[in-house]
Amino acid sequence: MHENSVSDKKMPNLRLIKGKLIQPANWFFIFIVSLFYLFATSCINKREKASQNLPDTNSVVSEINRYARGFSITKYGNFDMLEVKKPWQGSEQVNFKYLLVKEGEIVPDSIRKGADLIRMPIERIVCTSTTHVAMLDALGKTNAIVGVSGSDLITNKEIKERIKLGEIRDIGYGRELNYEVLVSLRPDVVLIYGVESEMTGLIHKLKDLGISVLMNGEYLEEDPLGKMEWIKLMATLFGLGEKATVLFDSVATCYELLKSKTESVNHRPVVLTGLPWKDVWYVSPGNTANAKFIEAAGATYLWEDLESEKAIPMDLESVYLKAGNSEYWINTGTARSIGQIVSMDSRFSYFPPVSSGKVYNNIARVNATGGNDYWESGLMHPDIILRDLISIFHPELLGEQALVYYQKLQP
Amino acid sequence: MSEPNKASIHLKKRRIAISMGILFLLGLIFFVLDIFLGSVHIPAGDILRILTGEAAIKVEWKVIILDFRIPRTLTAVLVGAALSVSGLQMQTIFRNPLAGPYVLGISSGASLGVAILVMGFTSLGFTAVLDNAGNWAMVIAATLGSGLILMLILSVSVRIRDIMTILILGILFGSIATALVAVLQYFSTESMLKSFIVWTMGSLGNVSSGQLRILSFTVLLGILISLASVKILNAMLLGEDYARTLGLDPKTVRMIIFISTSMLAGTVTAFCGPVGFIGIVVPHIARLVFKTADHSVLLPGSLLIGAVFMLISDIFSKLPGYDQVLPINSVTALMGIPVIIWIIIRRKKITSLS
Repeated sequence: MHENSVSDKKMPNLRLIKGKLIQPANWFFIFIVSLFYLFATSCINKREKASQNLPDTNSVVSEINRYARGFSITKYGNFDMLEVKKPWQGSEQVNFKYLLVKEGEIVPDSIRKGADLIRMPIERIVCTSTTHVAMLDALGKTNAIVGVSGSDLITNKEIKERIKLGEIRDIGYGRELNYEVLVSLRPDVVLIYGVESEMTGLIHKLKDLGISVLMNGEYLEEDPLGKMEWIKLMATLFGLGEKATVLFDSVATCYELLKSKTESVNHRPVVLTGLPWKDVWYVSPGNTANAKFIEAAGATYLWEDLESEKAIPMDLESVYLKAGNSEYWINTGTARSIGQIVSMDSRFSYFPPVSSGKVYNNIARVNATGGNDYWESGLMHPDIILRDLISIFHPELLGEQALVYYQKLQP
Repeated sequence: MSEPNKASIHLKKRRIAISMGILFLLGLIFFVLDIFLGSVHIPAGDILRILTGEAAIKVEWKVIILDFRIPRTLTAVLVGAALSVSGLQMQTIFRNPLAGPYVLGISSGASLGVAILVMGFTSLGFTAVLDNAGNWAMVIAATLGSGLILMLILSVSVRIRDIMTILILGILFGSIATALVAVLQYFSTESMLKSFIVWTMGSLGNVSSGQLRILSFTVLLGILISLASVKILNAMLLGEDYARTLGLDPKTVRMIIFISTSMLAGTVTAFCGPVGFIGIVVPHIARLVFKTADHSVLLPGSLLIGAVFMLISDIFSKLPGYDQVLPINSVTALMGIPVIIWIIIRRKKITSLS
């Protein structure tokens, strides 16, 4: 608006000057002034043209996330500015900004402020995490996927089929990405995530190659709904913000409704999670989505008071002592039966859930190649996961319900 | 022999006997401390009551002492003794102060076995088979891996006379194994890598009571073979030619020592992962303490020092009073390396072997 108003004022002024100065005597002056006029109007014309495409940058609207803390979407007029904060563990100082730009749009520096540009429309996309696949699936945009990382870990049948047909390529895993394949896919954007700062190398490499990158940090969210809310960020790539909001709100409502049902339970059983690596138990702290799920399902997480950024390696004997009052044991890694757990370490038979048989694992939807849908579509269905957990801890609350992601481990 | 010489020999023998006695006592003290200290605080009185078979106040405490701490402490003693004895043997056979239990490529071979199990098999879809094998799977994989490298070394050592060539070949075989492990690591996922890395960091607390029986049987047998070969080790110290003049066939001698070393280091690696530095450092400490090259002293001495060293490392790695733990391999390295640096600086060189 500001720039438009300036040019509107200039035009009549110049015309006025011209009118005053038309005197036959001073041709030279007229000549100069005409030149100036031509120059000035051509400039103004140009400006006017540009201003038609210029966004209404005065209107800055930040969407407020309901649960997620790791990203923000700000609308500068027509532009969407995405900000990803804390893209990996312990990276409070790091943030990434992305500006979504439609074809033919010019970006004013006043908005860009060093942000990376992502050109729309997005028609070719590479996913490096199964959660990215799940989000695109929920948005109905799996047809845009041209490359994935770690195809074995994916459970989405349509994607699996297209990998088999060669329509989707596997670009390798972790840091060992196959850059030649990646470049040959000509992706409009590569979705990546980082466990540590090692990803910055990959980001620079992709930038050098002229490939846009969008960092995802949904796995760091401390709330299951916060994780799912990242679909809003993904949706902006396709201009599907409203669809994502509707989808998210309906799942969130469902989740909150289920959660409210457990608030009045009298007995909140204590729940143990995880499985040790040899004699070291990497304990997941209490400020994680894992713990939030248990709490929402009307139970108590064994380490609910433990706050940490990362899992903490603990001695098996102190875990054993703490697990003495646990009633349920969930998320037991790769173990498919209680017998397997005991064969890893016979001392697990002292754990109360093992002797009472109350061991449940989130492996009901694991496919032949080892992909677990809990980590894929589970992201988009925190309500179903919560329903599973409530059915496990409080079977009387919801009536007869078949478990979806979880299964009871057989002895 | 003159009188003063006899007296000095007598004095030396007494000094050795006293040092052995002190080491044995230290071993006992740290053995008890290792049982008494841990992440969970249990009052000493209750531990004594549990050990004497009286009813414990808390059932959990009884389980912690009997099923967690005692097997772990026994494992620490066996690991320390086995690695130190095999390290000493290797230093003598190769006449190299930097030799250790793993110069034959045993740990590299074991890593290859475990790497194939953890990172190769899972990718090939053998998960179901492995899951049912529990913690035996890694033990068997490590044994097969180190067995393969040992077979290579033994078949070479029958043909090759020069011991240095065998040393170099051992390093080369080990490097091949390491390179293969790197290839496997390159293509594996985070969870596979984590599982493998945790194995390489060593662990004392994951040996079940059945496995402890196998571990102690093999280690004791290996140590018996070493004790029986004290004389040939002493002869080998003076060179293979000298050994030959005594009527010993160097190749047979080597074979015996290699077999006992792989029994000691191989079993320990299979059950506890490649526990580093003990095998190199402890023989030097033993030479420093006993000031002799006689294996009838150095062997039991290394055994005791190794056990004490490992018990102390274990106590540190448990961080008594805290829930957290440190990997045992880092603790042995952090404790072992300063010792070896101190020895080098003090003596201006590594203690000579003979």
